[in-house]
Order: sequence, then structure tokens, then C-alpha cells
Amino acid sequence: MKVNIHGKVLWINFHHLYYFYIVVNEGNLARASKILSIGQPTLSSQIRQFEQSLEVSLFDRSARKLVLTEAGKLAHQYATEIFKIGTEMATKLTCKQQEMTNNLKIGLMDGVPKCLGLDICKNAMLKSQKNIQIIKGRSDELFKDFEDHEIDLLITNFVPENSEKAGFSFKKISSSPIIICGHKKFQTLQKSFPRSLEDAPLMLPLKLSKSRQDIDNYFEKMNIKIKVLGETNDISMQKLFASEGMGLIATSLASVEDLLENNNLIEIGRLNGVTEDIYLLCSENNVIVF
Amino acid sequence: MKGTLLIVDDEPELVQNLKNLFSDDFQVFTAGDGVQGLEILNQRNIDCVICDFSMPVMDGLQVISKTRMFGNHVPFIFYTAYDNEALKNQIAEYENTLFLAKPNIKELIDMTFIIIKNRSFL
Repeated sequence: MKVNIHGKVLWINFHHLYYFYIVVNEGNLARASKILSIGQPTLSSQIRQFEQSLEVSLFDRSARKLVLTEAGKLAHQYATEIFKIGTEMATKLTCKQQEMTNNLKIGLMDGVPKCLGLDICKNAMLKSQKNIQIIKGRSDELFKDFEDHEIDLLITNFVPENSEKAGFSFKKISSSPIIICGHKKFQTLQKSFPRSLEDAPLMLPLKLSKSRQDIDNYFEKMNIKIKVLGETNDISMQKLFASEGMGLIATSLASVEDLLENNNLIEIGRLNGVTEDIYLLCSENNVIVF
Repeated sequence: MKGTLLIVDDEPELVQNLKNLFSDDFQVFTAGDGVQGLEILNQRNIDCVICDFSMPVMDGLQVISKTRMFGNHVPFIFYTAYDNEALKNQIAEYENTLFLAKPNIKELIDMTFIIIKNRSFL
């Protein structure tokens, strides 16, 4: 390692520093040379070279025993720190490698039906011997973790534009029709659907989301004027709004299947040709056949 | 025990009107900007927040991001006339968020009641 001190260049040889460190720890050259598997004269000469490179004496050679100078004591303190950190680094890297090998981290984006995530995890458990860990979160956070290789697989309702360039592969794993649903008090709207939705109170996803754009295009094509009471991308909020009878929601069939089965919600109708697609993103290292 | 509601808006008249509307049913706290709102969120156990987007000192996005950063998942109703879709999209990345456009006061009242009633499910 090259060190520039006030314009003067010094070289620190870490092999020499390690020899010095072992000699001090062992208390004599004979034991140190055994541990290091090098001859005593070679070890002695390497330590002298080290002293010359630093331009200091590390040992007081007037004494019969191995005695450190003040500079030697300081050098040994630093060497202890340096090799402690080195050991820590090696331990952490080994554990990290082991963790990466044993765990399969699956990111599940907010808004993706949980039942789909569970299906993927069951599949992964059957096909892989790894421990499965699910991380739920926001799209920006999960994409960052995915790019940083903190997540192995990502379940998402959209594919970012740069995915293929970044070396990610993706597969459409599900496609669910978008339905209009709500409390049973809106049952009469099933008749003459979708025309019946004219001026019906609706809670929709935000305008910049893909599903909202598809929904708006559908109503525009059908020439139906809708009344948007509120907007949310949060499926729990949508479900609450609908099941409390405040209005209707437009969402994927997969995300409300449980509420339809329990009769908490009823399906008013389907928006023909409008679907929510779910994708599985994999990095090159995790091309698992699902 | 009464539910708790926090209203964060820089229009004092609107804040007072909303407080009058909800104070019979809920314990209502009010804040004129995001900083005051965050202080209340840190001190009280709030069931629902009605928040504006565009406010002095700290806007709605900063308020919700800091609230979530502290692990608080309280539902937020963003009640606003400010129609910035990009900002709304950033806010919508956080869970338990809903957008109602001013002046739909009936929907605001209904939704606030529903959220507070179902607070434990959100």
C-alpha cells in the first residue's frame, strides 16, 4: 500500500505487517516462524525491511528479550485493529455468501393480490430447497432492492422499461379480469351494465396507474360518463369503501375473490378486454422455472 | 372510547369547520402545517388523518413519508383541490392512503367515519 505523507511516499507491505504482528503476539521469532512456515532468518530480514520502509525501529535490539519500542507498541496496536477488521470482513463475507445460497427472497409489491404471492411461494418451496422469505413493500423500494440483489424474485403488476437491458427476465404469471363490484345495495346496476354505471359513485386507482388508464379508456370507448368519488391504489381502502356501501370499485377479480365468495361484495359486471397482469421478475442467477 | 382524528391544513376556516363537524363523535386534533401535524402524530394515538397536499413548511408527501418512516401506519385521507398527479402517485406508494377532491364534504365525512370504525382492520 502506497502512503503519501506531506509529499513523502512510504510503502506499507501488509505481509510484513502480519509477520510483525505474529512475532509480537508469539513473543519470539522461533515460534512465529513456525506459525508462518518461513525460516527464522527470512522472517528476521522481512521485519527489518518493514522497519526500513517505515523508517522507524519497532524493536529495541539492545535488550536480550524481544522488546518493543514506543513506535513498535503503536504499530502493534494498529496491526491488532487492522487484522481484527480483516477477520470480521472474512466472517461477514462468508456468512453473507451462505445466506445468499440458503435463502430465496421474494418481493411482493403492494397492490398485488396476496393469494398470488402465496401461490408463487408454495411453488418455490416445492422446486427449491431454499428458505423462502417474503418481503412486502412499495414498488420503488422493492425495485431498488431487486437491482441491488437484495431480493431474488419480484412479483409485480408492471415491468419497468429498462428490465431487459438490466439483465432481468420476466414472465407473465397471471392475468385477472377487471370487474366492477360493490355492496349488494347496488345489485340493480347489474342490469344494463355497463350503461348502468353512468353517474354511479366509483373509487378508482390513481390516473397514472396502468389499470386506471385501461379503465378510463374502456369507459371512453363505451361513451359512458362516470363519477369518480375518490382515488386510491390501496386495495384495503378500496375494499373498505365498497363493502361499506359507499360506492363501487374497479379492481381485479383475483384481489376480491374472497369477498365475493363470502357475499360481502357482489360483482356488478366485467370490463371486457381489461385485465390486470402480474409478472415475476428474476435476475439472471435465479431463472427458476415456475 | 372516542376515535381520534387529526386535521392538517393551512386554511384555518376549513380546519375549524371540519373540527365542528367531527368533534361530537371524535376527539379532534388540528395542525396548521405538516410540522405541527407530525408532532401530534408522535404524541397521540391517532386513528385517521385528514391532510392537505400543499402546505407551508412541510407538504403532504413529507408528512406521510416521515409518518411511515416512524412505523406509523395510520390511514391518511388527502382532501385537496390540488391536482398534481405525479405528487399523488408518490403519495399513493404509501399504504392506507386515499384521495378525495375538495369540496366533496359528504364523502369526506362518510369515509372518515368508515375508516375510524374499521381502524383495526387497516
